[in-house]
Amino acid sequence: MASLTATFYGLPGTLLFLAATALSVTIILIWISLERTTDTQNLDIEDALALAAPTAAEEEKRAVLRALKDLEYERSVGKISEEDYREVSSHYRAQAKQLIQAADESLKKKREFAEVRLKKLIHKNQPSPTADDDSSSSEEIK
Amino acid sequence: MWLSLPGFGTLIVLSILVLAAYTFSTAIRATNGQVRLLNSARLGAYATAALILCGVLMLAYGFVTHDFRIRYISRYSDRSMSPSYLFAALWGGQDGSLLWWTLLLGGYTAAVVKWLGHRYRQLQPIIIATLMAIIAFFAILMIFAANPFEQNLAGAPPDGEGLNPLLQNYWMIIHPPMLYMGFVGCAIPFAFSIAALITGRLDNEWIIAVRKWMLIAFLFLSIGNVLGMIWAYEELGWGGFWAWDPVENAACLPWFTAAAYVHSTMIQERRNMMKIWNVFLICTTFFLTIFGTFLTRSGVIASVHSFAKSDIGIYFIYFMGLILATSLGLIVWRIPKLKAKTEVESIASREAMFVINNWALLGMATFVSIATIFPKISEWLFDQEITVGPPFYNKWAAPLGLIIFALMGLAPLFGWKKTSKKALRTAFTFPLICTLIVTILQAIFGEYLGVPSIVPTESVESGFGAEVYAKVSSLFPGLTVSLASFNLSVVLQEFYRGVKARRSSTKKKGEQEDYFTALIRLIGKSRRRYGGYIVHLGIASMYLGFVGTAWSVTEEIALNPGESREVAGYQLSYQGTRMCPGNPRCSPEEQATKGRRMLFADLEITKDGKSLGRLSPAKFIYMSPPQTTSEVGLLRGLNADLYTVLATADPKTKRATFSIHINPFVSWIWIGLSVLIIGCFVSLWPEVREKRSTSWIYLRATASGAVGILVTFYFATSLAQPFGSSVERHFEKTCSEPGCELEEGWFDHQSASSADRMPGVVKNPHQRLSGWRS
Repeated sequence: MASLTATFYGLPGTLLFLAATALSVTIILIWISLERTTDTQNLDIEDALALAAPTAAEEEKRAVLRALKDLEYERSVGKISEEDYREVSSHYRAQAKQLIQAADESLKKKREFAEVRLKKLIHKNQPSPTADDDSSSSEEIK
Repeated sequence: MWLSLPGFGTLIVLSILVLAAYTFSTAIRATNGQVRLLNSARLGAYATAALILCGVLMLAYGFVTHDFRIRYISRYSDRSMSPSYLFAALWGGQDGSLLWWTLLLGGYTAAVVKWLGHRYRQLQPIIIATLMAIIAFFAILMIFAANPFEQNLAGAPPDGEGLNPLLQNYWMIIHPPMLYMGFVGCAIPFAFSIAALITGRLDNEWIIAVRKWMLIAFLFLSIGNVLGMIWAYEELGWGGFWAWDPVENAACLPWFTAAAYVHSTMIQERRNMMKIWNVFLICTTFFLTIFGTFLTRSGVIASVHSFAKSDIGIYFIYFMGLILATSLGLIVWRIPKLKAKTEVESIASREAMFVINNWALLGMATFVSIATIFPKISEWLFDQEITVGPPFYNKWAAPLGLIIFALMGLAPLFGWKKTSKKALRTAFTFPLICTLIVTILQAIFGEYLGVPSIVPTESVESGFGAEVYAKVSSLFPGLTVSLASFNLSVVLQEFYRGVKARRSSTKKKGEQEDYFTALIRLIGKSRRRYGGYIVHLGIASMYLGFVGTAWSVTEEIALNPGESREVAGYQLSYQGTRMCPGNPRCSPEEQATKGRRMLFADLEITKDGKSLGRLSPAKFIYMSPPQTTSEVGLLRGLNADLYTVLATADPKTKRATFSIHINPFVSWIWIGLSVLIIGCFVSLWPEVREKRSTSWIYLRATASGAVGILVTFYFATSLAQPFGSSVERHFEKTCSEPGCELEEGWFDHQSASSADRMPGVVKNPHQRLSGWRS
């Protein structure tokens, strides 16, 4: 009895308790993990949004914008001359413009598709729309 | 069988492998984009981490309850050990350290999975799969070669063999976990790069995420390496902190490549260049961590760390082969996507400086790795094992180190893409003036202050080239001080220019900021940039500490009780010896010490007539395992450390010989580490504006982490001196009482036989300076 008390008291007891907790957590997590593999529920909104990963053009655009910000800093601390700043800055701006256009182009189809879906959804929620209402709502979407 | 602790522990190790394999396969299935499978794999990763934690806690339980049925516990602990050293024994030997490594990897995996959240959905499955594969490797290693729960075949012994006294040191409680944190942390960037290579998402976004994780690994590698230096400095007793031991070298190799990566990644971010190089650096850094572990564990190269020697080297060779084949194969496959569309336009640009800096850092890593394995290379090529010693390393590492130091100061002065002559002139004026002033001052006053610019160096080789090199290398101390002042002035200038620019910009907006507010807001707005500059300050401080060895003084002195001797301005007055526990002059802590006897030789220190206190270098005689160690008496100072080692003591006459070292600027290494830690935390400080709802959680967590590490470091530096001031209070009588007498012959017996009785521990090459061990 004394040895059993000693086992569950003080530092050894704490370690044993923590180990048991870790093991319980492991079992619960495995259980949920196995359940998820057969889960057929729809995605929640966060998961669905996360699937829309940024395109390579978008990421390149971010890098150019970061470079522009850095360039501004370098000009402000006098690390780059005004002449060099104008040259490099115009180069980056042109690159950013191109990338923004490319990103817009690549998203054009998806945007149109989304607009159509939205339009349909609005129609569905408004059972008796007038022609004027319809045109104004599609204007809003645009 | 499973009801016993060894059996249950083994079952846990087996389960880790099974669970890692399950998570790996689920993650691979999730690559088809199924979110439910990815979520399942994420939970599997958490479960694996929790199971590893359970295993470590069970082993810790075995240690504190002295369950000597487990072979590992009986080999690395005994009943006299305090709980803190019982915990240190978890990683004090081979098998336990592998489990500890796996725990840290599990912790990193859980942290990265939590951090990823909904980000990098495409990369996540491969990241998890890669990390699980690494965990599975360590589980296989434990199951087949180094099971920490393996049962003692002959049954449980009444007591264990005890932890190696060399490891019974405060620093050894925190040094290995920190170093492992650094080593294991390199697995995260590796997993990211493998995921990016496989999925083809080789754009610049993932590299930003990887930089943070690499910076965390870099931080812990820095802490681990410097703590290792402190341990060697205080415990090995040869007067230095770095001996180019193979295991020391192995620990610093990934540091070089990680440092190279945190700079080159900026080129990819800004200029969309060097993608192949960055992926190569990430893979190389991870490879070097495994290579370092292989060197430590396999015993292929002789080292003072040979206590960790075992037969698991072959497993590491296979694993290294797998890493090399996978990394190189994927890089070659993705070369068309990795090729840069832009190139370095001018040598007067920051990217050009970073490229040169990268080559210098990689050159250093290559030099150190080749020199480390040179004994094996020479054996294969010439059938003769040729070992290269510290003079060889110092000869070549010094110029490379100075190149890196110079580039560290130069790079911030250049702008991206190209820098005009006018801008360069403006940027260089202040740092060059400062450097010139310091160089002239050192040339004039250096000799008087004991830090001359030129320190004559003797050539270790013969020939004209060697003579010329020796002459050139005599300039290195002065050059290092000049470069330190250059680096310091560059950083100060960068802060000043930033504050000035910020104040003028806020003034235009109609606001007025004072200098301090502008400085804080400037750092807050560009944390990465200014955190990096703070890290540069820390490294410059460390360089000062390193160069201090050029002016160090070493003397061997023999004294009778009551005699005095002056060494480099310090007056050392020998008071006699005392054996603790037992002597009435021992402090209560010393009287209460169990498991060892301690012979102290007390030295009263004065300088310029002012008392600086008492130092008590000692010899500790351990009962289990039977072994003697030297404990240094150390008086720290910003200018220099007074470092004393008790070499011998005559039991009859009490005449003692000491090895006295005056080590200038060593404290600046430890100060440099503190500055480096602060700089890394500034760089890693999270963006609080992105998510207002959770920002305070991140802030609190980061602040707690930063404070925790700094406080630990402070405690460690203040508590690691157990035999300095505490002795002073209790040492008031002269050594004339019966308890003070030495037992005749004990010292000769102990010092002569202890080294030979030490199985597995290789003697330090600096043995001649301070007894068998140091």
